[in-house]
Amino acid sequence: MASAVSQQPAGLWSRLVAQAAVVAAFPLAGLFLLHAGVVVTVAATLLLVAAAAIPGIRTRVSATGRALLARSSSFWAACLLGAALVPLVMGTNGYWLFVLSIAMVFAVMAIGINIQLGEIGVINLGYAGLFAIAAYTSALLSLAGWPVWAGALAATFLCWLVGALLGLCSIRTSGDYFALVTLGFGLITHQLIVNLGWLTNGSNGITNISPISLFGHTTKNPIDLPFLSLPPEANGYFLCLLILAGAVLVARRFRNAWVGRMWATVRQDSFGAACFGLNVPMFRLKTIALASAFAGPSGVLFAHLIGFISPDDFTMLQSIEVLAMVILGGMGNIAGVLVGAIILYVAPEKLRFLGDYRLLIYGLMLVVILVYRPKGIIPDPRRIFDRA
Amino acid sequence: MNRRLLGAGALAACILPLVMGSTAIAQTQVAKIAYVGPLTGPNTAMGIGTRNSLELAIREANAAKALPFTLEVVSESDDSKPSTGVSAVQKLCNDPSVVAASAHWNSPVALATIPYFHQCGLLNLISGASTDELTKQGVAEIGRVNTSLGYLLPHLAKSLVGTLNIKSVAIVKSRDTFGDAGSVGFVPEFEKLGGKVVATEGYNVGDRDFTAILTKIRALRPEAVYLSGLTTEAALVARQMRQLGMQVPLVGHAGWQTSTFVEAAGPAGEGAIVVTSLPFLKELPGGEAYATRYTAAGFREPHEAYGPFGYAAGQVIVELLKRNGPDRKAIVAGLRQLKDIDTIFGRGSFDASGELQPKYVDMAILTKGNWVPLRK
Amino acid sequence: MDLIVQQLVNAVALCAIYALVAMGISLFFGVIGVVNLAHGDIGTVGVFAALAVLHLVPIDPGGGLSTVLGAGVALACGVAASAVAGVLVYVLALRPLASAPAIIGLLSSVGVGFVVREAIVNFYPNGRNPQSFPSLIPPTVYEVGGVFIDLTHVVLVVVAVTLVVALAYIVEQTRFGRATRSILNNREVALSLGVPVTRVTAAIFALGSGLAGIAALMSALYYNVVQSDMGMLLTVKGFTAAVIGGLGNIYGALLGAILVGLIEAATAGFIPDGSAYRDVAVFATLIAVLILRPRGLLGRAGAERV
Repeated sequence: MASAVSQQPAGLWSRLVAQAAVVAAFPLAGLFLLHAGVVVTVAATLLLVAAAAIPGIRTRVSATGRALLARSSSFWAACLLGAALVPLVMGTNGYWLFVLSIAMVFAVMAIGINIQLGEIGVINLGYAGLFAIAAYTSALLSLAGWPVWAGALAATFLCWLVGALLGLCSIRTSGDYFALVTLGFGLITHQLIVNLGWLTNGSNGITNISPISLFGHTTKNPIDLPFLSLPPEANGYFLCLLILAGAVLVARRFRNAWVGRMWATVRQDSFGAACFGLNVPMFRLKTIALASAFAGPSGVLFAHLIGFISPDDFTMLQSIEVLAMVILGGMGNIAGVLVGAIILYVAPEKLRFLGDYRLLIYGLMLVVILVYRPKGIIPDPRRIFDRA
Repeated sequence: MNRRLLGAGALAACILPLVMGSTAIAQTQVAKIAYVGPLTGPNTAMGIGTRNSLELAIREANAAKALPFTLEVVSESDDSKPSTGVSAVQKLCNDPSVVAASAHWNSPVALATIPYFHQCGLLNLISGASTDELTKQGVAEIGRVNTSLGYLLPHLAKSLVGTLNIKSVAIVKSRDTFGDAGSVGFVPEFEKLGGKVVATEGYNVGDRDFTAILTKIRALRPEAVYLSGLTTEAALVARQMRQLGMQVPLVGHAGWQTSTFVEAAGPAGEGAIVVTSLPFLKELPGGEAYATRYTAAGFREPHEAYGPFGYAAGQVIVELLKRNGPDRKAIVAGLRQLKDIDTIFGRGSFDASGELQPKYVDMAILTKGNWVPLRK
Repeated sequence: MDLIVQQLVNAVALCAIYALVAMGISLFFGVIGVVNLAHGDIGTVGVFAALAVLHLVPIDPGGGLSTVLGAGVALACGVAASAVAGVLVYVLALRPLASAPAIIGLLSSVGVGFVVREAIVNFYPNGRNPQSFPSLIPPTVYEVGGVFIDLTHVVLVVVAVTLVVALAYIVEQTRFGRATRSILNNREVALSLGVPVTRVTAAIFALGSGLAGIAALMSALYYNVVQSDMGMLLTVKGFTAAVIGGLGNIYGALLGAILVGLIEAATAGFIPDGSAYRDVAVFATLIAVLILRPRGLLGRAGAERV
């Protein structure tokens, strides 16, 4: 604990080693996903659980984490580099790249929710509705002949607009009741998708959504470089990585600017903020709109990478899942949120061998982690002194 | 801090060999055949029965050493949901040892995965989904062993008007491809023979309360209620019909001809009539032997109505492997060349749209808790 | 005309079931400020417990006293199972999170819901498939001028009304009820005045969960088909009803349930192809109520919050 506060002289050599370790961690994790059989996965999971449970190990790990995060920009750069290297170890198997791509899509949404929930404490139980709006808008527009980037802009704008409308509702309703409005919103959106069959093809979903293409190279073509050939899923992977990096950048910029400080103020004491002249309801509205816009790129990527969307992808279950990613990962903390997203999406895929017991274990995991670590796996270091 | 990081690096260095070591999979020749179906969710009985039957056929092929390599069945659940099906198929597509598949019991799911089977050139020999559209799209990778609605529904219309003298019907259908197909294929045939559809009401899969719809229908006094949907809703509709005092028969097709329907509908299910694509096992050349072998194999679950199709699919795939080897493309190409294939249904052949001919059709009625042939 | 009456009769059963669920949810929220999204699933536990008893203990179908006793025992077991499950959930998954933000408790309850549903699917024999629930109420149908009223309808309404009255009595007149109301009003003050808050809360959970069990059992008796995920629908609808009426107020829950049941029946019965929009209508009402009267129809107007 103390080492995070006391400044050890961080020499160039140790910093380089740190960055190299971060960069190397990603391809290693990729190898683990690709090759680890049942036994190794179970062993690794148990190891992780033990590490999390034993206070001594946990403190050391979180101290390391905090020290890394102190050098934020270079840490994020190292992560980006590491993540970019993952496809190189995947050989010709694109399945895990696909899984990771979708995990990143959810991570972008998690960042959006983090702005709403983690920063200003607004609960959104219907985020899947925004996700659905983005996905269906993009799918339908591309089926009507629009280029993907135009559809993406339209989808993001629409999400922003709907978010602003929801924000308008938040002026009247507070806290928990706003959560219920969002719940109703999510449920209604789902029902409308199912029932407006002439527009959305109802329960059957929209199939054959065109892949994303750039200068003739689509996401279905493998990447053939002179020295290396990557499976087609690598296209989607890099695209998602790019969007995720952009989302993280945007979120961090906002957070480190005066907006972020206003968020913290509103979260901790909205009365005080109002007394100091901040128009809290409008501020909240704008924040909710901003946070909702993150669903735009997510929905677009989801629709075009999978090529198929149906109402089952946008139920309350998905809303809860994204929320869980934020909360488990650590509210307010972007790194934590990303970790939460990746773990919660990738783990069930890796644990598919559990078969029928998958969801049971997911539920148990949720409850256990929440009861023992309600602040999340990587809690926001700035919140150590927050009132619960 | 650097000590900790070096320690972390050392730990990573220790884990890496462990991970790599576990990758050494024995390089024996194993060809995998995939089953994707409702192994979880509301139609599990069908999925498991079909999967087990496929497994039975494969086991028998392995035991008879029909092929120079071992066959293995891998199964994934599509949970009766299109999105889960798509992700399951993608996973299988990426596994090079999967050479053929028999996928999906629910038509909407089967429709959704067609582009994916096409993209990776993997055969989907359907053993359950029954909408006609599946084989009408001209995709080479899709074939089917079970009977599609296009053969079933005209027979149902004929039986209703001719044998049972039912001339007016109210349709209750699920709001998805499957429900639509059951209604769209039935109505013209029924009206051609002089029948009249007095009402069409839709429901969403998962609804439990049909009293509102049935009350509307009751006022119109149809001679039968035609349910185009699956077991859970059929059972609920049967019960609620009796609760509302409606004594007319419930008719439909094999989508809800399950033992689960019998149990869930209870006494309200008596007298339900379906058109079935499955002649009762006694009437199939290989039927009774199959039933005996299935029980002997020790599966926990019954094979259900679609089990024989899973078995037939297994038989066809084994034959394709014999003739074309464990190569996806060759298997796909070889399907429509099969003109003299022997299955549990007898000798058959595959036509240009990938359908196994000849198709069997019959009528069944639920009597004293059992589905028996309807004979007048 | 009798079409309308028949639809109303159909709706009444729905209202009764939703009312019981909504009252439980309202109580919970008022007392611990946490939305329990596993409420319906706790009711499902009761249903499957009753089902298990009915299968294991052979009940003479003769129709005499022993049948009634047998049925009664099974139902009682179901309600007890729900109550116990509810207390367990409170102690294990919700109380440890009492000091965390409410959203964490909500997520925890979601996890509990998963666990319950999947446990039934995996560990109850044939848990995956819909099961038939024996008709413990004889399927007598009365015809009154073209309108069919099932005996089950009558029983449901009678049971619901009795329970509402009983609950009202408990909350208004008994000491336990006073303790409940004091906690609902201001938890900290109640604590400082010596109210055994934890024990009372646990008791409230037992009560509310028992209500959920009864609601689920009524649903089972009415539809005669039960499934491991039948609780989810109950939770969502009951929750909507509770919110429309005003969380924390059991009379509001009752009012909300009646409204929800009527809206559903009206949409499905009278609008062409309306059963598709049944749920949309209900949720749209929810949003409208929340915007126009944020505390619900009968909720107390709180101080203005920024």
